[in-house]
Amino acid sequence: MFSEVCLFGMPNSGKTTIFNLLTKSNEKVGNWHGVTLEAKKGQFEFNKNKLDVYDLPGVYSLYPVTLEEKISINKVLKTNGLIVFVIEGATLNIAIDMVLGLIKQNKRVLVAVNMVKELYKRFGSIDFEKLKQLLPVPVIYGEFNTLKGIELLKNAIQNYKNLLNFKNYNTATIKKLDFFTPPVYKKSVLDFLTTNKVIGKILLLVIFLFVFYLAFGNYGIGKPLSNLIYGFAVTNLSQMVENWFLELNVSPFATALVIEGVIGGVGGILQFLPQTLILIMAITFLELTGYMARVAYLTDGLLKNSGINGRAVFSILMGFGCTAISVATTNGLENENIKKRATLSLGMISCSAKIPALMLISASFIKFDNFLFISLIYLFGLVLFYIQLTFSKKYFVKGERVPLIMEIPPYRVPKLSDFIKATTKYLKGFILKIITVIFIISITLFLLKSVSIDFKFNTNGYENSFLYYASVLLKFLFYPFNVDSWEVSAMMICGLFAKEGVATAILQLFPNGITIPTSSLIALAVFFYVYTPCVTALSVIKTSFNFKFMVKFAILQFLEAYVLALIVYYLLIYPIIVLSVGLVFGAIYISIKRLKNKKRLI
Amino acid sequence: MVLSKLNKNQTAVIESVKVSDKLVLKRLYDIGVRVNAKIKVIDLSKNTAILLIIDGRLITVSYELGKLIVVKGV
Repeated sequence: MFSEVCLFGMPNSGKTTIFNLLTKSNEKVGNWHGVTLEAKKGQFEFNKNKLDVYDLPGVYSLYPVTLEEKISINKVLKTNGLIVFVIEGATLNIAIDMVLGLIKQNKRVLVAVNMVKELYKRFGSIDFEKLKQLLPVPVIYGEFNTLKGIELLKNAIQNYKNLLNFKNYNTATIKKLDFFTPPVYKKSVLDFLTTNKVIGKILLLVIFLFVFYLAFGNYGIGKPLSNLIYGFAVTNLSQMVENWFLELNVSPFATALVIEGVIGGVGGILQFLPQTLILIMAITFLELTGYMARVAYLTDGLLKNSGINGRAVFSILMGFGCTAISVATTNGLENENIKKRATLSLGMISCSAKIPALMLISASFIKFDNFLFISLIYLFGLVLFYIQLTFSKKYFVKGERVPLIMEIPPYRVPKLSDFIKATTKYLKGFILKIITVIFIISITLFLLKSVSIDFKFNTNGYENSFLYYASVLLKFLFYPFNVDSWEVSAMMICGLFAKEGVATAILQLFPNGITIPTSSLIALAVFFYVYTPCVTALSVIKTSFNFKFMVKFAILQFLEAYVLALIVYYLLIYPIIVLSVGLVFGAIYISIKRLKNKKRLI
Repeated sequence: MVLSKLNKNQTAVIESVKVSDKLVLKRLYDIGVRVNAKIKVIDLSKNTAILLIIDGRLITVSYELGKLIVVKGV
């Protein structure tokens, strides 16, 4: 009957939720505009046959503006299948124009009006009988985030032909919108507090500090859980395996491989799972409630001179989880220049994979609560992000910012199933990464450090091991930080494959902690924080732009990391000299700028 | 600034929308800003965006652009 079904409509109308229920998938959902940025394909059973279904990014009109809108419109205009036009009840007045546009092009459309209860709650209404009489295509309505709603939708797809009434329709009569009473917006106390220019910003800070405390604070939830996992997964398990292997008379090489390579390297990373999971759960919860759209509004003013607008906040928040995902979300930004500018700066945001290594590096010099350290790290990242944006706007990707125009969704109580699905998805991804990438890095690292080039084995590591020769050539890079250690360069190489790889390397190469001067260690932490992202993030950048841009990005990020680490190091060693030099250069720069301005005025 | 024409309750009807950037104008139209739309400004600050209610929907618009929305009929 149909070759395929396309879920189409305005942003935040519930298309992905329908897609997930139809296809039993677990695609990302959220209560803000622009969650879906690419067409997703799935299948659902229909008349004992499998039917392809596409979840398309939301659009505001049939004339696309943004990149993801183009994807949607192209698909809908080409398809011969059924277009299920999902409409959020409250926005029927805008969506109806698009419905008429598609009917005019002889497309097979099924109108599914979603979130009707919410419309009634907000004192709006739709006369569905009248709407059905006026439109020449079938109309169904209900709550399509429930199984009952999905059954209704499936039935409508199945009986599409019977529901069709081939009649003449009058566009002008439909556009009068006699059947629709728009909702009334009443500013709730919650909206007043979260969008107030002073209280809203304070609240934003408090919410994030609270989340960080829960995850990293001494009396939070994350730290005790983390200690528990470390105690069981590393200490107890290592002891058990060692005793067991001794009884079985297993060779020292195999024992070391399992204890150091597998339990130490992989289990060591596992201990940070509760902390990163709490961070991800909090972001997911805030996303599902609709708070993130308010954050975009609140921060738009702060980003005024940076060349991007508040919409980029979604990418920043995704960057707290994973740089690769955050780069992919830049597709929702207004144009290619803004997308490039945001991407160039996203490397400055700490992804959750950097947290284990940062905590291990800082373990020897951070004597206060980890919560403060991590909060400072994130603040430092946001400052760097802003500086990088301004820098990019001035020198790399010139052009003005596009004003923020965005619909703010109403607050919604998140569905427990959506929350659980999003959390499980992260958990699955984390575990998959641990048993694949981290496992491979850990084992490879162990073999490379324990086997010398003449193939002799030493569990304590060889000075002439394969790893030594692979890393020694790069160790000169860290001489300016007073670091003469091939282990440090090995550690940074691992970080190129996955940022957790650095933590694995620290656990294996520095079992008693990194013993280098504190100032050098801080410089190394800065270098690690800023330097080239992992290969996954680079490949997403290549897909989003091109190979040339990816190479530029990687080199720029490396150079910036190096220069920044040098500045931090010398600032710690010779603060007065560095500050004086900085002041002199600053004064020269300002004088030159003033002279240029004067010349321009003359 | 045109928004000062709003009445005491910060409500008005948009009689025309004048924006220099065509794409921005289009986006405004797409998002629901129509001539004759009922508008209420609920937040206006010097260094952030404006929060508007347009026909019952909450919409945020950058401040610079907000200046260009011509509101009459108070």
